[in-house]
Amino acid sequence: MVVFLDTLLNGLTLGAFYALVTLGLALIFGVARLINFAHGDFFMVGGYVLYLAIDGDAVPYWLAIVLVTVAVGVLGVVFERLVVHAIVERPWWVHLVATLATSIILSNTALLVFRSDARQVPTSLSTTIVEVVGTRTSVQRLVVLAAVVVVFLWLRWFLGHTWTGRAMRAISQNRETCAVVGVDVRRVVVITFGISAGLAGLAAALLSPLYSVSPGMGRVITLKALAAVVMGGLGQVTGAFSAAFLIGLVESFYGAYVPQGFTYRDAASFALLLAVLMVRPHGLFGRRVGL
Amino acid sequence: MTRWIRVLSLLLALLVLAACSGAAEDDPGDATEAAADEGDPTEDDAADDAADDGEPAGDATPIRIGLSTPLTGPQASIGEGFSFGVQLAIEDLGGEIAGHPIELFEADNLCAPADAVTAVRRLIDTDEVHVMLGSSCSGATLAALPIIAEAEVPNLSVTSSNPTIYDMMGVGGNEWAFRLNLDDLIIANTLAEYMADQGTTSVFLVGQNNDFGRGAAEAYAEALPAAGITYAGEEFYDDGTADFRPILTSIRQSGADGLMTIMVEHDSAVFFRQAKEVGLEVDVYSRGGVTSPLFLEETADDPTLAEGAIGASYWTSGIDPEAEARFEERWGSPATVHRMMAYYGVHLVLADAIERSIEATGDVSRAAIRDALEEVDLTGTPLGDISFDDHNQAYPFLTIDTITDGQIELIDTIPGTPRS
Repeated sequence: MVVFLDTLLNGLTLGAFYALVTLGLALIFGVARLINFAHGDFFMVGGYVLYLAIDGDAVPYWLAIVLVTVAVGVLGVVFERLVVHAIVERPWWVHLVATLATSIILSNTALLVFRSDARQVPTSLSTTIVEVVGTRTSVQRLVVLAAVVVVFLWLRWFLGHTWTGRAMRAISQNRETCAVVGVDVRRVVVITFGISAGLAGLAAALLSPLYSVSPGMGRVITLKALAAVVMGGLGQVTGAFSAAFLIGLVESFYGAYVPQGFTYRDAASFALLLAVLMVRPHGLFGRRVGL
Repeated sequence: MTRWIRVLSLLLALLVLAACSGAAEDDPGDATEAAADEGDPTEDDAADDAADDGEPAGDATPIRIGLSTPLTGPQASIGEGFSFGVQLAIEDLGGEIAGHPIELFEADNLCAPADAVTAVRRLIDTDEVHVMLGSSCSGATLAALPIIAEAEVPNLSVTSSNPTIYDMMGVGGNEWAFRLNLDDLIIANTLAEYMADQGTTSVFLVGQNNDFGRGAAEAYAEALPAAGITYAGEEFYDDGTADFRPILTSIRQSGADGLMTIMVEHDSAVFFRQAKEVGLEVDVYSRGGVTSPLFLEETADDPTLAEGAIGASYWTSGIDPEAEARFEERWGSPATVHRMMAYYGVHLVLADAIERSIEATGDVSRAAIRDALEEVDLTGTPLGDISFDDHNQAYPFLTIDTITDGQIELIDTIPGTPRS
């Protein structure tokens, strides 16, 4: 029973990790119809901002979370203005090359500035261990789990009950009509990138204390987040959120109950992706329009 | 305005890329900076001649040393350390050997076989190096071996520990490949006996999912049962893995009382933080990634994280305090096994072989350096006595160390046992 609970907690934590990054990726695809391969690198930048903020106790952790979220959100806006603005109307392969180029530039810049050694950013929450129904966990993991639920509920509220959120949903359904009826599409896209990157920053601020910060930390999570976005239904926030947890749970249980399962867990999660797409080509929450 | 923003962003990107390129290839340190600046082989006929046919080409023919190592990507920390070690060695040699200036050429192999082939090709064909150090990782070294033999360029491996490499070198078919470090078969046989002496009965292995981790796992899968220890299971992780808790659950499920880690320092730091979180209590053994100053630096907030862990390697902190202090002073980061093996590879072995090859032939040539490497016979070095057997394999000390009160403590140095 303890093993099962341990595995469940591992899966939920992994799912929360993937979900926090995936939500932003899904938002961007829904509004801009663009897959941002640099999204994981925003997560990485967030890790380094956190490192700078809390190294030597420069600022308290709660304030660092705010700083990181805002700083990476601003980076997302700058990215939209400098890169996306010029290419958003171009074909998907231009998006691919431009966002990949941004990813490489960001990770290499981190390598130059911070060198290659991983940075550890433990907090009092990550080093405080508690026992929950027989399984040990750091308080930080519980904070991550709570935060991902709050973020998801906030995002649902934002998309459904604010003018900007409704504009995002409308743009994801019909961009041209939105422009005709007076929606400032460009402004909404900029806001979307700010929120999306801010979520990546929040993910970094919450998760880096559990892991570490290094120039390549965004590479793997981008792939996993992309898988969750596709599995959930491209552009579907609820779908991406659910798929992220599904992938986390599959990886955890496959890793714990199948011999050498951890070694091949990526194959298991991507096999799940293929299986979902075979049964539901538009994803778990598949519709032809998003958000 | 929009156009200006685009132009400025492009310029910024180009500046960053230029800086990246400069960091990876043209920043080999004070001792070699000038040499690297004049490193265009097309401007140096003497070096071309020397590299092509080994004929003497003048008193000051530059010695071109190639370094194939991961400078970007997930293993960049290894490559950066290698580069630091080699640069310090060149500085300590005064930037020259027997009056010949040293030029260093670096190529990024990402620790990946395909990229290693490209990197080695570039060093051989474009940079026309006389001798190479690398390729830092076992997979990259295995991929580079056929090219080394085909191009007839001597290569010294200093940390690639996959046992298969031994079978391919020297009388194994590749007379241009040499290895300074012990391989994991040699280390596993000794460490397994040590584990048995410690009373460990069952061991679970966690390793990197590459030729380093898998090669070591094969060695321990043989060595542990031979020492009377149960091989309880194994798991491998890919570069970039952040959450090891599923592996930790598997270890507890296996009932093993020992854990063997084939990991580098930054992975070890994350792994052992999570091991403490889940309350894993087993005997910990490692292949260098735990009993390392870099691990202790990364876990400085909790120095007892891996208290009592046993490490086995071919170098450990404290065996050459003067050089280690110089390294830390020069680079602001502690000496580690990768960094110091790269240092010794150049400072001890290549410097000795190159000097004797120049004495013998009057100039720098690939063939003469290879012949001189075969005759290396160094005694009383910090690594022990160094010479190469008929497989071009050296046998430095095997070091057993541990962490006591958050400090690395050497337990024993055991002469490396030649493979039969």
